[in-house]
Amino acid sequence: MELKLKVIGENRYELDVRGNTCPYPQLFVELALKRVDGTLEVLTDNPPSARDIPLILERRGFKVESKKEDSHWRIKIWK
Amino acid sequence: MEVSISLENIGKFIGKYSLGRDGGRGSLHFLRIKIPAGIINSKDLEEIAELSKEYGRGYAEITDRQDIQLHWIDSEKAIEIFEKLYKLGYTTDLCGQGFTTAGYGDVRNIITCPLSGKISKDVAKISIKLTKYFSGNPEFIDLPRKFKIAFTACGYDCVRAYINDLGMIGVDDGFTALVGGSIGSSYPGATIAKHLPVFIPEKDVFEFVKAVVEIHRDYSSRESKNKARFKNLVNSWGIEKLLKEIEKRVGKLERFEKLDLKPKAHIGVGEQNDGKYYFTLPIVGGVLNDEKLRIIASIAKDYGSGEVRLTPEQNVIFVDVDDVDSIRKELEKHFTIYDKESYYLSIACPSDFCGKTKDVHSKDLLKKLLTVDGDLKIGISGCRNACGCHNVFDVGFVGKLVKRGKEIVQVYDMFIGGNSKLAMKYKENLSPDKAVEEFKKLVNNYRNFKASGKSFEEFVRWYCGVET
Ligand code: SF4
Repeated sequence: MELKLKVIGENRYELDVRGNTCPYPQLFVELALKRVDGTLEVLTDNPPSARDIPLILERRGFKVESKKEDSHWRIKIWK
Repeated sequence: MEVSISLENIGKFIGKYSLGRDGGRGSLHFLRIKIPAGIINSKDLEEIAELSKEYGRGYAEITDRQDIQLHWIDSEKAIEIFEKLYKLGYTTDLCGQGFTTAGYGDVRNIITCPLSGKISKDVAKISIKLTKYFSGNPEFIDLPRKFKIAFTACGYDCVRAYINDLGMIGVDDGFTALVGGSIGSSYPGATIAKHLPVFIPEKDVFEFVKAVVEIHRDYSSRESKNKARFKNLVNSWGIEKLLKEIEKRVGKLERFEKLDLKPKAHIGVGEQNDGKYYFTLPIVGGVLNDEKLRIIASIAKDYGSGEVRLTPEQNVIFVDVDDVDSIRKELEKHFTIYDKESYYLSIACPSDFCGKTKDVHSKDLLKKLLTVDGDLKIGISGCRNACGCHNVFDVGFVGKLVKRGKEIVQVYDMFIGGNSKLAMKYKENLSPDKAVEEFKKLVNNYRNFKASGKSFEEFVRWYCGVET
């Protein structure tokens, strides 16, 4: 099984984890952050993940911005 | 362009394990471990006690679907916990309750008669087989919404089959079914299941259940979460159309019209078919801790066969007991063995963890109500989702938060007269103290009424001023 990261610009990646419940969106983000540098934009429709991901990553020193778009969130993470 | 990333060891857990959302008592996540048919041996119980101690601050709760639920789970430790459960052979509910759209529903733990095989036909076997089949099966983890199944064959409805999506009721050498029950607020509102008047031979029951879940998967609405429960499909199709669709998949079924099913919970002490005994330990609100789980495991080993049954009333039943007096004496060293039936029959949801109530939470209110003299069955839910079955118990309370002046306060609506049918709303917006007061009043009135030989149903009609 694999995760697909979409390249959406120079050092900009998008990770679509919609349809995944806790703790997977958070775990997938961690795997992705191990692999890429730059900006990661995460799409999640799981409200607890939209709550947890910014919390945990900010605690670890990442800059994070979260925005609601229709029925999902777009969480931008700067590495 | 895409970058592929390996899921490493996470892949094997997807679809089989998840954490649920908490929002109270400082807990962010719960872990609901499915205990197939509610049957667990002492060794596994000790292992779960260890998980509770290591990852859940020692707290553990028996749910009304015979799961064991832990709280305060750190999502960063999830994989470690899943790995341990995987080795033990347990899975969890897939808690997609956070999603606002239809989809990602799974088959929940199958409620099973807790005395299956001990006083009646063994339905646990088929229930366990089905639980294993559905858990993590990629074909059944994106249902329009969750699907709830119950199995019993003891002659009573001891599993609240009437409020499950599918209730399988043992009759003769097979089953008949109830369909489309669900008491939550989703469309079209609280609904008691209808009888699907067919006979399902035992050899066909697996395929029958699978067919019904497939119909939910293929035809229940995905338009919105609110319309996606199976009860909506059953209501809009009607029984005949549903039956036709089932028969398309499993072949013609013999008609079976007569079903006279009374609700009854298994409590107390009784003799099993093999001459041994079962013994029920009441657990108020299902709340235990790791130490108590260990004590239960050890007593089950020393005084029975090592097996315990979790009940839909959030209690524990010890089975295969030789000496009832000795087990009671041993249990009394660690637990209170109440005689009053309401301690065994009442349930309350975990609204304290869910975060939908303020003080006084569901389980705390239950504790207060149980101290009132009387033997009524109480169900308490923190909100309209009805996890505490408030609308189908003798007396029910459902919480809501309301604005009083500048403050948001906890109040409860009171329902009476449920029990395999929907209860009537009796009072609204009671403060927790007022709820206890109203309950006391009701109990006193019922006591006097009962003295004249009348039933609780008659009392409810009289008390609510409904013409008979
Ligand atoms: S009834 Fe409401 S408050 Fe209670 S557990 Fe269910 S969702 Fe939470």
